Order: sequence, then structure tokens, then C-alpha cells
Amino acid sequence: MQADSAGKLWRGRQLLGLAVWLIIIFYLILAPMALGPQIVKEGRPISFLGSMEGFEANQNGKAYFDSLYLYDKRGVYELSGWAFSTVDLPVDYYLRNLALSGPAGVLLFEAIEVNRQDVANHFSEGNLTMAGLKIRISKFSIPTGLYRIIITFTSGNQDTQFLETPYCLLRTPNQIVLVSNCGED
Amino acid sequence: MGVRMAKHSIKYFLAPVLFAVYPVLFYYSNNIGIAAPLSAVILGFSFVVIAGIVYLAGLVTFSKFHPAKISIASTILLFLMLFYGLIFSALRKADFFAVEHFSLLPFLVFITVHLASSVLRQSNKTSLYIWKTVVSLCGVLILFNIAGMMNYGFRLSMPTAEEGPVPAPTVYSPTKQGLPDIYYIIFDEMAGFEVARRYWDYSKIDDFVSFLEKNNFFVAEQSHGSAPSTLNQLATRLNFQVFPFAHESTEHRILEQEAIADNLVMKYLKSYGYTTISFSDLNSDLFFSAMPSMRADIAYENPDELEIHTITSIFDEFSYLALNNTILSPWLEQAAIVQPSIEEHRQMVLFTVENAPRIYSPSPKFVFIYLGIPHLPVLFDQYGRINDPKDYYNWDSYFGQYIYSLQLAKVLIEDILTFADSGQPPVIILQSDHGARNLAGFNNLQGYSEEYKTWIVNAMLLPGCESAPLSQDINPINTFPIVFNCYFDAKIPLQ
Repeated sequence: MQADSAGKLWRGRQLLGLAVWLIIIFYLILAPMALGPQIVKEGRPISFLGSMEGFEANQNGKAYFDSLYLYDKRGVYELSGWAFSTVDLPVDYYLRNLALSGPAGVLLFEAIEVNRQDVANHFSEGNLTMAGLKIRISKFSIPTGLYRIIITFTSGNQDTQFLETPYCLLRTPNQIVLVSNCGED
Repeated sequence: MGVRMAKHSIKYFLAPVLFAVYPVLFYYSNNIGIAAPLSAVILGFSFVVIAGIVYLAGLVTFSKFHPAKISIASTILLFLMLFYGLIFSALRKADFFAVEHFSLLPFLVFITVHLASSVLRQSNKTSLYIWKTVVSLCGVLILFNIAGMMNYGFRLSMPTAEEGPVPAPTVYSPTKQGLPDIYYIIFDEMAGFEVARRYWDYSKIDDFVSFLEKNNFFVAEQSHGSAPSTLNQLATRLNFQVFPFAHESTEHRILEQEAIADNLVMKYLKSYGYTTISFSDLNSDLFFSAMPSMRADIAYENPDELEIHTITSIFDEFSYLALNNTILSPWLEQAAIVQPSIEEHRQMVLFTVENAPRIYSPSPKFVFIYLGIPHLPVLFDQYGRINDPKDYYNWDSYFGQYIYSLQLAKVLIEDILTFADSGQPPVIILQSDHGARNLAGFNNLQGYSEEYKTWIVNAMLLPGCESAPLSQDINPINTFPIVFNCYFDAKIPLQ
């Protein structure tokens, strides 16, 4: 009788130990997904678009991305590059933003204009001096997967066009990587 | 009984002590020539104190257990404390699953406590066996590192610098009459003027060149250093002797540091009765903290008034490196943006520009001025405002600091000329050690040519030396031979 109750106690302790182990392992795996977005406020998308349907594709634009680096050790990346709709239009004629199309749908991020004299020099076009872009993206804003980079151009009368670039962002469990040629899809 | 117990317990303290000392020795042996030995000693002592606290707490809390068990349990806890940062980095790099401090740290604390408590359940015989194994392993690793450090010391005693055709400054007729003050100004990582025009399309650079020319400077626009290395170039120019360039070689680095601190130029000028003065934070925590002080009569490195009294100022770069691998890494990640060494560096730059032209010392004097800008970290924007710490290593910000550095150079030169004896105008040499190298950092310069990395600023004001052999592509190794040949008739052959 006493041995039986000792055995039950032992099994109970074993089960409790197992439960604690399971909880701590689940915490290790799930906590980054659950708590990460609460910690980092910067680099969040400004809006969520289901798809790019309904928007006109831009045929004349060009875009290039130089680098992606960890701007804030808490997981905010900064993507640098340049983009323009057409050479002969001043870049301040339209608003440019960056959309990421992937497993989580299409997420729109705000782009900051940057001086890129080298772009203006290359295309021999002074209109392109401010063609540079910087976009901050928190890794907690996008689930893991491959995201195609799309530039959206919105003119003064709110017409939006999009330019699909050959670049992608790959979100791995711990980082975001810039992929310079991610193929058709 | 108590004394015997204490002696017994002290013996088993050996495992935590050796385990605490090992990482410091390992980091130091890999950073000889950069890390200050004192930092390693302080860090090692701190780790041993922590080991002592953990072990003592274990002895007090679990007094009924054999000290060998407490010793092993303490070592397991120390493993987490001293190597957490390394584990975190390795898991992040492996990228198998999402790793964050707030998830990994509680997990590892749980495992460590579990492991430590399981040691207490082992038999005394097993515990003693594990204890001996830990002590032997740590002992071997420590000896291995000590042997490595001693090997460095032996190799350093062998000279490697190539002998140049330089006459030793032995006996000269000392006369102080008519000898000019000499200012040697180095801006670290300042790109050549032509590079500013070509790469950054900065036409205003011509305003600065005009300023120099109006003040009778000769501006060598096509001058290149022989290597993209501060230590190598300063050693070469201050000794007018070729130092072979070996990237990241500890031996070369130490030889070059010694050759800068105890250089031929200052020895030569001392023999002529010059007072030698140095303004340099080359041996600060931010650059080469193990470098000896400049052997000048007056050396400003980190004057008392610049000392910053904060709790974090006890940490230098080496300590940051070591502590970043410990359990403190989550907090250091945030604290790293306010490294005291960076603030000291900023203050040293401003102190030097303000005080170097005004320093009172009888002539003739030689003033060596090293300014660690526009080298990264990019502390200033083009107007001299303090940059956001996140941009300290952003190459996009480099050129803003470059423009501000030109302004500081202008102020420095104007002040030197203002405070100089009008009857005896000074010699001023304005140089950079190398160009912008586009090295570690982010937002690196795109399409940046290799030749730009050694393309330097090189301008010289040599009053009364109109016949000096100055050309647009002066080899900077000839800087002081040209000066000495003109003013001292030294007849040093040019290279």
C-alpha cells in the first residue's frame, strides 16, 4: 500500500517534470513569434494589401537595391537602393513606397527619400538626384518565407502603379536576407 | 574542524577558478597588441571573484554536500554566465529556429539549474572523477594559451622591418637659431581631394585646396600611401623606412606601434634641441589600447580633464568583446551604443583642435597631431553635430564627417598660423594616413575603386624651401627627408 503510494508520487513527480520541460521547450520556440512584435515598434508595415490586383504595372521604371543591413539589433533592417518611374519625370512627382509580396500577402512599407547623386550621374538626368530610397523593416513584421520586392508609385492624383523588381527578401527564422535574383516566382 | 573544512573547500575552488580564467586568457592571446594587459587582468580578476561568489554561495546553501559537487555545480553555472553570449551567437548563426534573448535565456537558466542540481545527486566518487577531469582540461587549455602568448613574445624579439638608407641621427651641432616649429597633422582615413571630386562629386573641395594654396601650401593631389593601414603608414613616415605590410599580423602590428611611439623623426629633432609634443589618442581604447605612449616631451593622450566618470568607463573594447560573450550580452547590446571610448575620442578630437595651436612651449618644437577622423565611428555630421549612434558605422555618413574634418583642418591651420612667430613661420604638414577604405561597417560605398583606398591628402607648408623636390605624386615616406634636407641639410636620399 505504502509502496503503491510512493510509486504514484514518483510517477506524479515524473509527469510534473515532463510538463515543465514541455512548457520550457514550447516557450523557447513560440516566445519569439508571440513576444517579438510587442517589443519592436519600428519597421512595421503602413498597410496591408491583399494583392496587387487593380493596380497598373509600370513598364518604364527601374529599381536597384544595394544593401540590407541590421539597423537595430532588436531586429530592424534597413534596405537601401533607388527606384524611379521614368527618367524624364522628377522623382518628387510621385510618392514611392515598398511592397513585399509573399506568404503573408502584400505588406506596404514606408520609404524615405535619399540623395543618390551617383544615380543622377549614371543616367545623366538631374531629376533623379533624390531617387534613393531607404526602407526600415522589422523582422517581426513578416513571417518566414520569400517576399518579392515591389515598388509602388503613387502620383498626386492618387493613381498607383507598381514595379515588380527581380529582388526578394528572404525571412529566415532569425534574419532577413536580400536575394538579388529570386526568379519568376 | 572548521579550519580543516575550509582548507578542504578551498582545494575544490580550483575548478571554478581555472574555468573563470580560461576565457580571459583565450581572448587576450587572440588580441595581443590590441588589448591592454591591465584590462585582461581586471577582467580575469572579476571573473575569479564571480566564481568565488558562486562557489561560496553553493557551499553555504548546500553545506551537507561534498565540496567537489558544489565545485562542479558552480562550474556549470559559470559556463552559462561566461559563455551565454557565445551560445546565443552560435544558435543565431545556425538559424534553425528563432532565437531571442527573452526566449533563450530562461531556457538555458532552466537547463543549467537542472544540470547543476543533478550533479548534487551523484556519488562522491563520480563527483571527484568529474572534478579532476574539469581541472585537468582547464589546466591544459590555460597552459596552451600561455604557451601561445610566450611564443608571440619570442617572435617579436626578431627584427622584421626592412632597413632603409637612413643615416642615424647621431651627432649634430645643436643650434636653436632659425629653426622652425614643425606641425605634423594626420587625419585618419581622410580621402584624397581628387577622390572627393571623383567619387562624391564634391566640387567645394576646391575651396579648401584654394585655402591651402593661398597660405602657400604645396598640395600634392596624386599622392598615395604604400598600404591602407594607419600603423604601417605612420611607422613608415615617422621613420622614413619601409615597413612590410602584413594585414592583421600581430607581430607587425606591435613592431609598428613601437616604431611610432619611439620614432626616428622625434629622435632626430630632439638632437637639434626641439621640444616634442604629441596630441594623439592612437593608444586609446577605441584604436590600439596596447600601444605604448608617444615618447614625446609632452604627450596628450587623454588629459585628466577629459576623463569621463561613468560606471561604464571601466570597460574598454577588449572588455566589451569578452563581456559580450557572457550572460551580460543582452544588456551590452543596448549599452554598446554609448561606449565611453567613443565619447572620449570625440572629446579628444575637439580638445586637440582647440589646444594644439595654442600650447605654450619654447621654440623650436615639433607637434605631432593625430586626429582619428573622418575614420569610423562617424561621430559628426557635416555641421559638427553629433550623429545618431546607429550611424556611427554607416558609410553613408562618412562624407558628412569628412566635410566637418576639412573645417577642423582649416581651423587648426588658421590657428597655428595666427599663434606662430611671424618672424619664423612654421612648417605644417597636413596628411592622411590612407584614404577611405570602405571597410567594416554598413552601407558600404558602391563602385568604390581600390586605388582610392591609398589615395591620401598630402599638403606641405615649407617656408623658405622653394627648391624642395615637391611633386604631385610625392611618396609620403619622403615627407621628413624633404623637411630635414631643407632645414638641416641632412642629405637623406629620397625613395
